[in-house]
Amino acid sequence: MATAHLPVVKVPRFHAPAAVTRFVPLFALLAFLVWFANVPGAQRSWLDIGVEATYLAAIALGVNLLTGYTGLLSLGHAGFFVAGGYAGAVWAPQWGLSPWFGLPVAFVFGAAMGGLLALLCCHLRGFYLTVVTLAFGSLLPALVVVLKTVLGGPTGRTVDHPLDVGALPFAHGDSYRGLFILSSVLLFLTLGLCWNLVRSKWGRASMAIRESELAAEASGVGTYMQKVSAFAISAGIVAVAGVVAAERFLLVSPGAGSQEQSFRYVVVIALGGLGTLAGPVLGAFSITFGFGISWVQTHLVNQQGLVFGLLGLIGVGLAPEGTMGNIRKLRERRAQPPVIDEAEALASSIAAQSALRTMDTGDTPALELMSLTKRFGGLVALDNVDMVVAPGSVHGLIGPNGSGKTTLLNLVSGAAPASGGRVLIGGRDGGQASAHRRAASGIARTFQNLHLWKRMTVRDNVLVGCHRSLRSNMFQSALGTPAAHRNEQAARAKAESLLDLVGLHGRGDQLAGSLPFAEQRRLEIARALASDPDLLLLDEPAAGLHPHDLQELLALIKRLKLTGLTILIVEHHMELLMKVCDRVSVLDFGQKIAEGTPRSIQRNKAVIAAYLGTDAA
Amino acid sequence: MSLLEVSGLEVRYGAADAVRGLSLHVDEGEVVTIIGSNGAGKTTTLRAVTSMLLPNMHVGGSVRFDGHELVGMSAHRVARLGLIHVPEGRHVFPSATVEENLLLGAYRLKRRQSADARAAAVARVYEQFPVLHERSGQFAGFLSGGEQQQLAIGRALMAEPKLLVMDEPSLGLAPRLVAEMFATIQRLAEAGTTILLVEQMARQALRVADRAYALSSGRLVREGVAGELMDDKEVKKAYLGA
Amino acid sequence: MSDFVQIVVYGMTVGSVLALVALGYNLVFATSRVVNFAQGSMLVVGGFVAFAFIRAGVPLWGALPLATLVGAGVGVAVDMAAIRPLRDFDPGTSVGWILTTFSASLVCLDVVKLTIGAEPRTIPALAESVFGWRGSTIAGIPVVPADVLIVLSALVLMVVGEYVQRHTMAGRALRAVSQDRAAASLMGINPRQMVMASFAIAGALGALGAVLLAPRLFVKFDNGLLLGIQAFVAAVIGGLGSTRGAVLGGFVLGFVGGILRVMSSAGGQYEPLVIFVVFLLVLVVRPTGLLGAPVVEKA
Repeated sequence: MATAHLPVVKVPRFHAPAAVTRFVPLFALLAFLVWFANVPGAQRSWLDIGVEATYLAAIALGVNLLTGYTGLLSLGHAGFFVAGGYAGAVWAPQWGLSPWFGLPVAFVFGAAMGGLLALLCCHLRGFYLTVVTLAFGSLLPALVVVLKTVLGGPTGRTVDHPLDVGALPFAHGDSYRGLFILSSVLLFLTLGLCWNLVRSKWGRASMAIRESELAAEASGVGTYMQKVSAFAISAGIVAVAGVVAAERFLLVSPGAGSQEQSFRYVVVIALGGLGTLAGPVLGAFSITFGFGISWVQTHLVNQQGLVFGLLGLIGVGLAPEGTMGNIRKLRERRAQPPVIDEAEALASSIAAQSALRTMDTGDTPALELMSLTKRFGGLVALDNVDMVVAPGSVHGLIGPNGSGKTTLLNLVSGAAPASGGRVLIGGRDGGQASAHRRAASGIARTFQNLHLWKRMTVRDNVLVGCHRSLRSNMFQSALGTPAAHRNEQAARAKAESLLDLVGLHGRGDQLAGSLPFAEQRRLEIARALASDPDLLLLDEPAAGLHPHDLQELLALIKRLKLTGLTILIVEHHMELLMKVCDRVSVLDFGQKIAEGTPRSIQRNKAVIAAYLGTDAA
Repeated sequence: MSLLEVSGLEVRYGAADAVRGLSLHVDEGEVVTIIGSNGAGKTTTLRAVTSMLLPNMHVGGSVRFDGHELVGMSAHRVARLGLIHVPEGRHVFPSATVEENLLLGAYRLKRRQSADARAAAVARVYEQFPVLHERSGQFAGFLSGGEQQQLAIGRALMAEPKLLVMDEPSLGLAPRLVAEMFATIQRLAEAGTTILLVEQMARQALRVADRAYALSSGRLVREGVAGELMDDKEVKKAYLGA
Repeated sequence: MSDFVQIVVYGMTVGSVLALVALGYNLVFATSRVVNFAQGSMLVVGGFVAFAFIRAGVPLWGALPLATLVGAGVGVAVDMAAIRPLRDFDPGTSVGWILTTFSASLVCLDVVKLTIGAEPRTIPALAESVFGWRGSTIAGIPVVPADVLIVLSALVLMVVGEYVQRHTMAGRALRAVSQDRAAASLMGINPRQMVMASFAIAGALGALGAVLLAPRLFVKFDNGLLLGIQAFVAAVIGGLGSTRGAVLGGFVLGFVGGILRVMSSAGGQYEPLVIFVVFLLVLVVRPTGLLGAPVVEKA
């Protein structure tokens, strides 16, 4: 297997203006909060609303990590909000800790609860998961009865040792002002955490799961633990907000843990924009301040269900991408791809790729199948297939519809378990490893119907492919340590180099879904290459391509062969196969009926009969 | 005017072209076949004609049937016009009995058909496919592939089709059953049914058809009388790339 | 002995209504592959609407069909507001529909609050006597005609439902859509129409269940979420999509509730806890439910 060698091909491009404009919203938020705390004659009720707005924004950011970025919908997070309040504001001081310790205690407690719940239910798909979180939320009223002394019954428990927020800098001894400052600082910390996470390996893995779990697994993402960690972090953030709320009311009330509250969190994000950083803050601020207007207070405060219900219907039904999503679309439309010297970039990226593999690969087959069999119920999809793919060769696999080609690819890539037989990869037994482990053992694949992550940028698509070789862990990413930063820079350089190789120079910032089809195909190949595979599986790469795009694909495959890569290609397009393949195997009804050079296959009687039908009918 | 008239058909899946500028027609009483290797766009063409669309599938051009424009019409309304599609992969209702499957085939006739007429229609299908009669009370999901294919065709006949569209009826069948399937199609044709047949088994399809269209990469490469396409070089190239 | 009778009476009555509501979930899931998170609120809508009619002077036997009708109408409205605007979506991977159906549920509840009121209400039992029988006491536990009526009506509805599904063209069409949506439309069946019908029937079943259950559990807002979740858990325990499963799941939960109530006077409050544990266990051990078909691997 090739080592994770990250060549520094070129200095990452740095556009100063872009980097500065990125921080403008952040400065605007800071300015707004400072102004807000210093409005002449600011009343306590005014600051109180500010506290609610800021911690709701932090909650929304946290839930957004799970719902917006990872694509899992929880309707039980308000439970963590209440749990955080108990742990941080009531229990921690009781144990003799300083009330300030309540904040980290709440985070750890919430994260542990969230992680535990996720460990139990993250194998569930779609709505099953949501219903479990919904049922989890309905536990609270029952727990309040069962654990009356600890939780204080339906009225909750008072906060006996409140934080001395008045002593904070700039608070001038005013506890309302102090709490607002605390809440704002926590919001900024949450923003920083989310900022670091979503721009790191962790965030890309999450988004990849949201867009296509299958493709994420195939790119080496351990999807189960990724989902658990998303659950835990979001629960932790929500729990910390629970402490602030407890300090605000000097009371922890289980009523705040209802499913309606959890639902409110999601509506807030949906309105602002799922999967963005500005969206949750925008949504939380507009809704809190909206309800702060006195008219709304007097007329609608008892109809929150109606208001949020209608907002939910309108938000999801009519504007599924929220406010921020629409802004991004506008910006996308105005962006122009830069013009750069492609020839030079190409040459250096070929050199970088070749350096990954020693051309002298010996005689060990890159892939060997020994009587590989797959049954679906009574149907035999693959029947005792033997096949050898020589290292550094391009091997074609053809056969009529339903002959078992895609099944074979799935068995080799680990997307499905074999019913019998063995798969040897580079001479070693692949066992029954799952797709993300196969990805680590040097196999990468593309999909027949493109499993790109369309709402991620082109560069991020390739970077998820680097997932395995990026060593930094979640904590390093969250804190933005220098090591994580170096790793990230190297991976980015490699991603640029791969984009050059497939002819997508300078397209890194576009959304993958906005590329023309032929370029999406090539992007998928670049993503597969990012895991430094020794064997690349291409599933019908020519399907849907125009003739001139086909020529480029042909050139790309030849280029890849130059770098020493072994390629197994399933394709219907015979002309393409004839031009690039060293050998071709033919499947029919799950059995291998022929194998040889492209020329010999074209003349093979059995192959012609399988394709055109027989005369003796 | 032809019963079915397709002109300038364009189909895309998302950003990918699948069919480009295809025109064809089927006259009443004819058997027409569309041949081509897989991935050529045959199934896509049929799906576009009967509006059996997949998500992400965009159709342009015109499809006229019996005086109606079908592009943009939903699938159930196309079926109600009498354009009946036997889809690839058979798509029988697995947890309904064989008899219920057949009765569902007559759904489009609803109140226009009396209960007696419906029973008579079922009896006619049983006559043509005796094995379905034997299994009338069984769940369709338990039938073998060949039996399911017969059921799918029987179900389509229940709708009294003006045009019967068949997609790869031989797919996944053992060679002996393939021959039987083509014999069935031959019988239907002789009974005067208008048929549009998509097949990968080009030789058999050309033998039962009057006229044929050959597709490659979503484009029409040949059209003509079925017998003449049998040994055509272009057709062979479309399949084997030689 | 008296404990046993109490458990049986509670289990049968509540269980049969849970089964009815679970069937509503099943039906909607069958045609559209979504879970109607507004199903629980149908119980509230139905109960309160029936109460409002009675308050306005409509006799009970008139209020029941009227409330059922309103339930069906609300079902259709939920479909129009929450499902239809989303157009083509894959219920397996997208989550928007969960939000919209939940939104619809909140809107329904608040509209009822605004128009009818939020306090818990009672509805008189549908009949004081069944064939002259005015109730009796078994082992010290009173059994009243209303209890028998709940179980009988639920059973009759299920039998009628099965008959309609097997022996009428409309029922077959509904099943066809649930088994293979694309193929159903090739038969000339309009799948959208069937989805709407399933929402209407689910809404009607919810309203009917609420009126039937009112003598036992009152008409109140808490019922919506609680019974809504319980009925869903019943459907999942039995296997989402399986009719027999929904009935089995409904009775299992009904009896669990009965046992808890007999064990302690506050037992009802432990109910969510026990049900959550049962639910998690079923999902972890056998995600397809007790009677649901295991997910078949597809080529």
